[in-house]
Amino acid sequence: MNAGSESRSVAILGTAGIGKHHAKWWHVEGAQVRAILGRTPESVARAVETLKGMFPFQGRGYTSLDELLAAERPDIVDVCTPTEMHYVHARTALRAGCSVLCEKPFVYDAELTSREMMGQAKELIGLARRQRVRFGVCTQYVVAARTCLAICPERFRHLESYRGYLVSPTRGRAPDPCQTWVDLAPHMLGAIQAICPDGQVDWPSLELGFADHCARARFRLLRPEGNAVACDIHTDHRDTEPRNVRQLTFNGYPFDIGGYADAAGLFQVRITTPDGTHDSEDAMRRLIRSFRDGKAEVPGRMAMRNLEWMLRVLDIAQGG
Amino acid sequence: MPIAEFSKLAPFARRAGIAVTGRERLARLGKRLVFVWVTTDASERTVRELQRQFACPLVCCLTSADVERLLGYQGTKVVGFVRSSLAQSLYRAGADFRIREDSEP
Repeated sequence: MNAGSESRSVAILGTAGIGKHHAKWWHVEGAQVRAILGRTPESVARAVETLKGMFPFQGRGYTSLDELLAAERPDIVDVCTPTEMHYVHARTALRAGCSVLCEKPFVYDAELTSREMMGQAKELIGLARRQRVRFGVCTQYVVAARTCLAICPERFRHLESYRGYLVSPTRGRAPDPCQTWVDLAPHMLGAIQAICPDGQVDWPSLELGFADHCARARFRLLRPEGNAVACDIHTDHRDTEPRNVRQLTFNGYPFDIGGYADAAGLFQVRITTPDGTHDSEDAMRRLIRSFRDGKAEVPGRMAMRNLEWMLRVLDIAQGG
Repeated sequence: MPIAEFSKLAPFARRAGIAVTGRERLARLGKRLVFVWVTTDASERTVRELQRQFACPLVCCLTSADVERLLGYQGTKVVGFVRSSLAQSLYRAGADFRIREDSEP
């Protein structure tokens, strides 16, 4: 069950939400989705039916992770369970010798302190290293940002400003800007971390705007060359149009990230810029393919940094 | 051509949430605006009022039909742009159409 390009069998933990889309991409990319984990027999049965409606799913459903791992021995475990379960599920899978891809946020449990959560994240990365398996976090806007860079590299020269703007519908959530930040900020932080991997947040420059559903953080990102990037991470949930906005703006040049289903029903990304549109495969699909082929697009160190920034902003927003 | 660049960038401003309309809302956000776009079919009186009201630059170009085409706002002749790098890019593209304080509108 060691990491390598021969890794093919996958177990998906949690398929009620984003996990079902992960499952489909694993299938499309040639992996065998061997098992899923759900909370109850009823939820597992529902999930199996849902997956069968999406692709020829032939795996088994479990409600016990230990049983799943013992019976199926998957090469890869994809953790898509609720955020407070990420740590326990990832640790169990890593101990069983599986490579682990974990949905964002890496670890998060509102009952724990940031120090405790960082400790958990560090433990998981150390465990993956000792077990000689892959570990990665699924923040696919890292891949999307690299695509933007490939489309217009000239727009990224002498980078001075970045705005990551991510809006999604409220879906009945109560207004909670801290939760909005936890849900969405890892993507927008990941995008600038992908473009400026050497950048350090100038924490005294941080300005926050947390109200209703909106969570916004502005800060300077210091680079080793001595220049700084003015960053504006703006996340929001709303039910008025436009309810879905995924926009990365570098040096005042916007990249609108949208998508469409192709003739085969597969989601494709369409990036719109002032100079035209660019179609490519879905960023999540590409991240999953990379992981299958032995590369974590957001490996442990990058995931730790992403979590550290996310939590530190949250602590400051909460008056910590 | 600057106006072409302005027209290319403008559609992104609404999705970015940085385009603001409505006199009251514009007045509230006055200090946070990079510039105000007023269309060429706005009255001279409107332009004079905007000059008095806003400390930020005024850019006068295109028509209200262009506002509808580019931003989707119907019958709108005045749009403000909130401080952001995209608003700065828009201003640079439209700066040739800035109304000078000492010029007659």
